[in-house]
Amino acid sequence: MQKAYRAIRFYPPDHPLANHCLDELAGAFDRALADGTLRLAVSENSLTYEEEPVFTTDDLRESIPFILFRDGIRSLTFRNGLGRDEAAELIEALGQAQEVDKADHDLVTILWERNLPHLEYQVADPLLEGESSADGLRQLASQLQGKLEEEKRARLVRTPHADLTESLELDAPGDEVLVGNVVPEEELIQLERELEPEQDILAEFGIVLLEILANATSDEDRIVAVRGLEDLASSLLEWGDLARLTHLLQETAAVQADLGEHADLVDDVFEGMLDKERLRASLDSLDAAGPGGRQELTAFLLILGERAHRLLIELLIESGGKQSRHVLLDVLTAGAGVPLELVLPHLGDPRWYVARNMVYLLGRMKDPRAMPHLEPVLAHSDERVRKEAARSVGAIGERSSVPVLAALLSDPSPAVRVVAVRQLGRLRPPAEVLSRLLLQVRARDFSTRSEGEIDAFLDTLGQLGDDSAVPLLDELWRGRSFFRPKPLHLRLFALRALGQIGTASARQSLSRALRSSDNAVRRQARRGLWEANRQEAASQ
Amino acid sequence: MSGQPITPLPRCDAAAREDERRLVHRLAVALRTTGFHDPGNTAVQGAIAEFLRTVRTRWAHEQVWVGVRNRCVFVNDERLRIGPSDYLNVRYLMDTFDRWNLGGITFQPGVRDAEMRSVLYELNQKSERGLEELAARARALGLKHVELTEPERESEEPAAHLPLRTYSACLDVCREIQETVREHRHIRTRRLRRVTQAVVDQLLEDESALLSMTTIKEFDDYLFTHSTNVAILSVALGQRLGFDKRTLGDLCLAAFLHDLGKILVPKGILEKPTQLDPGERAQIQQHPIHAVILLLEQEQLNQSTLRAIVAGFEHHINLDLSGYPRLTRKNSVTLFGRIICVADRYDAITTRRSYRKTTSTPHEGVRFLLEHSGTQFEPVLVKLFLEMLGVYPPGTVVGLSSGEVGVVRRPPLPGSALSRPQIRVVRGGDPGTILDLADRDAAGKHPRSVVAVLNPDDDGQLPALCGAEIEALGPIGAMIAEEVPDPPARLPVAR
Ligand SMILES: [Fe+2]
Ligand SMILES: [Fe+2]
Repeated sequence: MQKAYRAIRFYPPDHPLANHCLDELAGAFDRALADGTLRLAVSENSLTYEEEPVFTTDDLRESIPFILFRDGIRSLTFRNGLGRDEAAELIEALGQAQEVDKADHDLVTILWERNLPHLEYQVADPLLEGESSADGLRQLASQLQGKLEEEKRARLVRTPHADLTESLELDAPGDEVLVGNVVPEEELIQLERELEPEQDILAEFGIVLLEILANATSDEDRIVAVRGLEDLASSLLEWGDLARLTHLLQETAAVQADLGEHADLVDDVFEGMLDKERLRASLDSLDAAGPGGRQELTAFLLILGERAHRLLIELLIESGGKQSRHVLLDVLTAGAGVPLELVLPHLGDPRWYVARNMVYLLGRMKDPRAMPHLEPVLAHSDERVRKEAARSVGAIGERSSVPVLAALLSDPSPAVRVVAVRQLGRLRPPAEVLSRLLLQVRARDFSTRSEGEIDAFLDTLGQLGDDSAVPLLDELWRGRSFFRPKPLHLRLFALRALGQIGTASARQSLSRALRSSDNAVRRQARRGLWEANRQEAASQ
Repeated sequence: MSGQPITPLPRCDAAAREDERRLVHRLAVALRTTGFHDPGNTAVQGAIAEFLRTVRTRWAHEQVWVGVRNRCVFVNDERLRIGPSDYLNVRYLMDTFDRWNLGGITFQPGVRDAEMRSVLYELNQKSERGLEELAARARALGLKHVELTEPERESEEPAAHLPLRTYSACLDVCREIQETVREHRHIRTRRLRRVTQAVVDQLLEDESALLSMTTIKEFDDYLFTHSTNVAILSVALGQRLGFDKRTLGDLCLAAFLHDLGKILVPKGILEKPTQLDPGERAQIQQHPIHAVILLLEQEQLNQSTLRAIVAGFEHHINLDLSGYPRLTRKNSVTLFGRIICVADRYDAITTRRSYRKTTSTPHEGVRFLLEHSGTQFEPVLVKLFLEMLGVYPPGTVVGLSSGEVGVVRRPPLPGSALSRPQIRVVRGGDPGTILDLADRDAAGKHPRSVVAVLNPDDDGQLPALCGAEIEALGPIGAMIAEEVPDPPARLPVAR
């Protein structure tokens, strides 16, 4: 038994070694119980069978006799029929009892609740064994005796007497209702159905604490209620029960809002949630499980509000998971966002993704004060950081953003260039930017760039361009080249840009394209003209 | 307590096996029906046919054993969960097995209608020599497919389960808790659990003995007997709801601690013989909140203490959410809260209090519950409570049609009329005799019925203990059996 117990303590229940030990134990019980029962007496360090020690140990802490003895168990009786499952339950119960310091749950209670059919135990208990309660019994007896003596003289007064069964509304009351017929079967079955989902005791406990907090008349009571809420919330966090936790915190916040001058006391509940290790565990389990729990975790972190910002930024820096990054960024950019001074120190972090995330935060907060800090990041060695920086600069949308973005049009990374040109299109920058843009489109390698980049540049050119861009675009859709023909997509994007520009000269160029021998070119030209006409009609 | 996480406890409920549950249910119904009708009755035939159908569908080719161990029903080594709708039938089955000292019955494939009829008939007969006698009769009948098995454990009862001792231990532990809380120490939970577990064990073992103990009111301190009585009544109700042992243990603990908060209310207010002023009433109404605060200050929170905390808060909140404390967010009362509310109100109004001139009789107590069923109390629970204690609950002093006066000692058993409890004669006739009002004479008529409910000295009731242990105790038993010196010619019954 000791062996099986050790095995269970140190190996998970499905581990082969633990399993093997259980088989052995069940076999041993089978042999020992073949002719009836086995009664073992328990002392601090041994188990004895008919005065004969069968197990002795000096290692008190980990030993079965000690665990049994400590909880008052003085003997164990095993009965024939004890199978493997029961043996497993017994060993599990012993294991649970070992954690008793944490759980305040004694072995006797565990065994009592498990109610193993082939195991009996004897508990030493002065209360129930007589000595100390003998006085009580004697008192009780003499009190009852006195009562009965008095009764002989008691004045008996007739009291109202009713046939209570009338009020039961039974179908056929008859003259006598029998025990067993009072509650109709349907009502019992209905009740059974209601009992099925176990009462949500944690939620109920939370509500009770909130009621007490809301109606308390002294700070002492409020503090006890807040402590209870703290304990409940941190337990829920530990178990990862975020749905319940979020609900509890929302309700707590609602109560807090009505508490007036006592509201500060409640802060402890929220501050108790700022436990880095537990939050990290929640994030890690989200990363392991996929995006399913994202909303839950986001909702929870949002309730913590500003007070969690510093910790969440730390977690953002330390965690690499995609899901957790999404959640943290969502939470940090909600509402007014994070204060600049929490983000700026990490902008120069050597890890590219840290810098990228900080740049992202700055962009989402749209705080112009961030601009001077973003500019150096635009020269970051990692294109992913530069790209994010271009996006953030565009998002902040200051006048000072334009030259910065224009400079990025010649960035060595196509991805960065695309972001920059798109952001510029959005910002409607002053005319001088157009020449920077034309310079890029005119560049000798432009036609060899990716379709996406060509798309972005020509789209932006269409939005920002005027007559000065028409000759270049006209040249591009014709596709003439000394070296090799221009790709079709470039020709079509150029036609689209002409349609967007829509001036007289642009329309002339489009009309010429209607006569192209290429079917696709003709179609795009028609579309471009239609777009140009639409714009003109709209502007009139 | 702060910083201590709440300990989640693993659930280990017995399996909810549908076929097995149906089998036991039908066996129990067949047994009960056979007990009330003669073997040729159509209801008996129908019930046996239902049982055999279940056996033949599921156990056509293998034997099936139905047995009782530790007051739990097993089918082929699988422990069954008993729902509220099974409770009375299964209890009848267990009582019958107990009476014969029978461990179980094995049914072999091919068991026949006639065999079932004879074995059920025999089981319903009076037992004189237990299993030996039953087995002899079974042999004589030549039963081939039904085997009776012995119980696995000898039926020696551990001393801890004796009702009077259990009750007295409750009072002791209550006293200890009061001191502990007053001195701001932690409650010794193990000790408390030993006692609440003994209450549950005792109720599972012999319900009426412990139920009869709830007629002890106001011994030493009102709070001690009240807490104990509410615990007993609550667990007895919970048992009828089919709670497993662990849930019963939690319920017992919650009920036992429900008025813990009263320890913080000044005794002068609790026992004030005159009308309370609004300030004093407000102080009393704080006690559910005090209960929560006191329990929170205890070291550990686990499933059991959480349930006790919630129930402690709820026990003066009615089903319709009236009562106290005042609520702002809570919109329902938990099942534990509803159970304790019923038990608490019943015990409170049937106990003598200094501020009341007359105490209600137990009969008026259940009537009060019925009158407020659906508003203050959960209707199903009220009905179960009535079924549990009968129309004249233990302790009620009743005038009989025969002219005798008796005190109710045990509620009517399943199948008996609600208004026909077992009583002990206290005046007139042969004082000390025990009469079962459900008994019939040779003509099939009830020789005695209750014709009046009496209130002795405005105390509402008399203590009326029952059970072998109490009767063997000596002084009390002797006292009760003692002849009343001068039985009055006419009952001193006043209007
Ligand atoms: Fe109360
Ligand atoms: Fe109470």
